[in-house]
Amino acid sequence: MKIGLPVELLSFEWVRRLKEDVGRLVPDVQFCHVAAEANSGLQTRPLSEGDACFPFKKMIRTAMALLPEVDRLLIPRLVRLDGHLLCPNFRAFPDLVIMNRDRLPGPEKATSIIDTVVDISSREDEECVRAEVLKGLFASRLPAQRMAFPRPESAEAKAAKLSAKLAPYAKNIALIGRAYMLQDPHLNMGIPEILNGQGYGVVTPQDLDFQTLDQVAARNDYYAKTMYWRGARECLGAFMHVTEEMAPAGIIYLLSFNCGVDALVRIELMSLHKKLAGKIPMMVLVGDEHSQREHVVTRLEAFLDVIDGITTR
Amino acid sequence: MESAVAILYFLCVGIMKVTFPHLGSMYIFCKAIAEEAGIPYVLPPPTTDKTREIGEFHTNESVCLPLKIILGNFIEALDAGADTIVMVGSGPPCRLGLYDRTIKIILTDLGYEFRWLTIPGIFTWQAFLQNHDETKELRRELTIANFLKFPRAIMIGWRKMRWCEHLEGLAAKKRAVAAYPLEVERWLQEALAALDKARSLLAISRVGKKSVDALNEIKEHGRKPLKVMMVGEVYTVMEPSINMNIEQRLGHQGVEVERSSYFSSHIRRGSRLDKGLLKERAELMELAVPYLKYDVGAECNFSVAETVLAKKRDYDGVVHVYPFSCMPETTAASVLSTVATELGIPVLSLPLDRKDMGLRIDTQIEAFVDIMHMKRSGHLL
Repeated sequence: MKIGLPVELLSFEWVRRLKEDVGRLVPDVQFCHVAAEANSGLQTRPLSEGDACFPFKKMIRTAMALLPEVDRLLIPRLVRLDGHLLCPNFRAFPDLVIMNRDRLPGPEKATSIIDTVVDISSREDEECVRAEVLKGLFASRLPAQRMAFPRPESAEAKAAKLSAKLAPYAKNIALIGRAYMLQDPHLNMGIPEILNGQGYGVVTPQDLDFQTLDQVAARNDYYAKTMYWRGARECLGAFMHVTEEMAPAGIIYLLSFNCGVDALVRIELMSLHKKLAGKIPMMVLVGDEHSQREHVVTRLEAFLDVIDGITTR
Repeated sequence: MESAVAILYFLCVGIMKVTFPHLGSMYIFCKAIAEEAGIPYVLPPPTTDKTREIGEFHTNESVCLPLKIILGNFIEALDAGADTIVMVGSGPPCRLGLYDRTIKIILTDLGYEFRWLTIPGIFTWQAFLQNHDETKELRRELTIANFLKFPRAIMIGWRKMRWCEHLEGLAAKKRAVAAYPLEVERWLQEALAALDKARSLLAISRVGKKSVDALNEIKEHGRKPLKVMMVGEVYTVMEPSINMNIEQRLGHQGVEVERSSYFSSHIRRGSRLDKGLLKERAELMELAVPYLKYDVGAECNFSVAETVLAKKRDYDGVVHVYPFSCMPETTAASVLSTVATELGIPVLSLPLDRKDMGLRIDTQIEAFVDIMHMKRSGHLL
């Protein structure tokens, strides 16, 4: 069986674990994450994507392009992970793909979409969601769930990986942003590679243990006014953690134009940065569908000049 | 001497000076409560381009318009002497639930000193504890007399608000059929001003009824109006300076507008006390299910459901207003493009941000009205 799972969703650590789990339970399953070139025509059809942010549009397009190539399309309805909410767009992601699928004239219209609700705050929730996903994917020939659902990477393992990643570099830059931005070269416009090429190691929030970041972010919560989006807590916690514990040479906050969550996080990060009194240079980069790599390179060069100037002084 | 200074200080600045954002005619409600309870207040200057620019300057391009305008309102009010901000809150997953957190950060960074009170939009334990904490200092500044006056103050405020909303609803109907629509605008301004001045429940009812009589006197042109439902994000639906006076613009084109949200309905929904309203909301949610199988949050599913409802009620169209970058309503706009095609009902989606697009909106409205007329006359399928 061929299961389509849009590549952008793999940036979520829980989705990667789900894929690992399904692969272990049903070894003959084949996952497809991006469509072959031949199906790119589907992407040019008019899509109901409105004025959403570019990452979201890209996810819809990837899902649509996968439709003719797979037996089932797995688009979990991501509501909550690790007890924190995701951007509301993810709640409607399967509906928008279904709506667009139903407009298609060909046989891909019949491809079934598995849109299990993912609302996870505990291990029990995780097991329930796992069972629902498996039921949706395999219905009658449901595999026996003998093995436990894969656990997330431990804080120690993550720390060891990060040390190894940063070992070749004398200086590091904290690149803060959403997982789907930082793990997709199209969305992050190659920033991590450009920085590496210039001799800077790159630390991202996803390199750090989420529980630690969550606890750090909680210091700014106030009764009902908790920062309720998981991605926002990750960015906020990462900023506070790296500035307190890691002394990076610079901080880059990469966000997508029109991202409602990051618009507010940006205000909080700028406020926190003010309190650092210029000790660490910071740059905000806003990416969009028509952002060009050359523009980004120019901005990065200028930013690295600032960092070098400060270091030299 | 010291005690004299202390007394003078108390008389002048000893008690809080509250302020609140502009949200349609909500200021009449807030003002009434403050006046009746004997609490000094500072009404923010009317929202202008300057207000919006202040908000834009201190935020960024992806922040939604309501936050920018509310921030502008607060800065102007603090500059005018207010020291205590009162704002209606909300909850996840929409950004409105974090407006207070964000605005507090901005104002503090700008060096303003102020106290903050969020009126919970959703009544939870956390919201209750927050409210208790926020009012700790404020309670010390209030006298027993202030507290005793509160029940009556809230009653007066609530009654005024309900009348304001009733009159605004009537104005939305009358504009579309008035021979001279500007007469309706003048009438509405006078009626709201009279309600604002009324100081007792009896006086409020009297002013309200008299205003309705006056409205009935306005001459009509006799043509059957088009009828549209206005749906979308609550702040944008309710505040004319945010929605570019869309209700009035449509009315002047002969379109009767039914609004999906009023301030009182927002409060009643949040309190979860009105069972009838809750049932109505649950039924509405069901209407959206063929398109959205899960609650996206805020008004998203309701925008879709109300469009389906508008079709069922044989309305001529739907106007969907939302701030640019609003996450739930961006999703609603995507869904509505399909709903409009499937149900055959014209939908005008208007993402709003800067104020300098009045002419663009007029052009869109004119085209939208043409489409609705053609559809009604059978020239358009």
